[in-house]
Amino acid sequence: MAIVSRTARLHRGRCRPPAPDGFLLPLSTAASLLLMLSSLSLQAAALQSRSQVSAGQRLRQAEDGLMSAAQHLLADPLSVDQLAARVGETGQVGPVAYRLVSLTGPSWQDTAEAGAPQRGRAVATLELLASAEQPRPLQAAFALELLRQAIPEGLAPPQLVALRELGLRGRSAAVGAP
Amino acid sequence: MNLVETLVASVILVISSSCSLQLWASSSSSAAVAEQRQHLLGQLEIALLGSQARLTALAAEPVATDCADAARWLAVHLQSQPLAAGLSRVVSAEPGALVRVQVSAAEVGQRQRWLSPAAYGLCGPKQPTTAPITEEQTDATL
Repeated sequence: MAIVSRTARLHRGRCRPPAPDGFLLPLSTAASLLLMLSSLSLQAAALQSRSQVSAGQRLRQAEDGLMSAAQHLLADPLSVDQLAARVGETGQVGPVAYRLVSLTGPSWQDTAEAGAPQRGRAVATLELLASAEQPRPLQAAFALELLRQAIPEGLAPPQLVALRELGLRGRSAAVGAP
Repeated sequence: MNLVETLVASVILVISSSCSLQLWASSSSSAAVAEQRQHLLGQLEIALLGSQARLTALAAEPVATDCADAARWLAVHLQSQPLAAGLSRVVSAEPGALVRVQVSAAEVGQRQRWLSPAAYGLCGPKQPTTAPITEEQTDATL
């Protein structure tokens, strides 16, 4: 009887200590690893969103540059006729250097009634010139809304009435009108 | 030995939780700043596109025969348009019959576009058709 109880105590005594011994350290290590990983991933997401905002801002500034370039190109009201001859021409407005890549049109709509002004549309593609901060320049297309009056001798020279942005056209070689 | 293990484990836990708390705080504050920045950038875009939309609305109604005069009138007209709080706008007539619209907000930056009255048919050989605009133009040039 006494032998049995002593072996039982011995058995218990040998079994109990290993369980709590190496238990706290791995637990706390795993928990701290989890905490660090979660906060690092949050930090990475914040950095990512910041870089996204600045990339969007650069894109918008390029859009501003392209729109300014288009306005500068059309600043002379008499130049609409000769626009086709100015393809390949470069210009500078403020810090923006640009080139007229292509011009399609103008295509004229048929007027419904005689004597009414005829509406037309041309599409000009412009490209920013490569610079230090923008090695691969962007292109954008612009729609030129034209109007020409019917006069007794035929048709008056076209008059530009609006300029609309058709959107960015990527960075590669010239892309045609939509 | 058990005490040493407990101490080491708690030290690890305290250090890592304080580190991660700092990272959490910094990333959440930077997210708030980024949101504010995004909002201001949107306001800048709205102000700039608003000026351009004003030009589109005025299109095909010549205000002057000379484009430089039209640019000066347009600069005064665009400057008088309403603007959201926290933004400032500078509109100036530039040589070459252009109008420079610059919208800026503190700590976000600025955006600028050059606009041309000729691109919207606001100047040209055609005589001004509407009397009130001509009056306004003389007011602006005075």
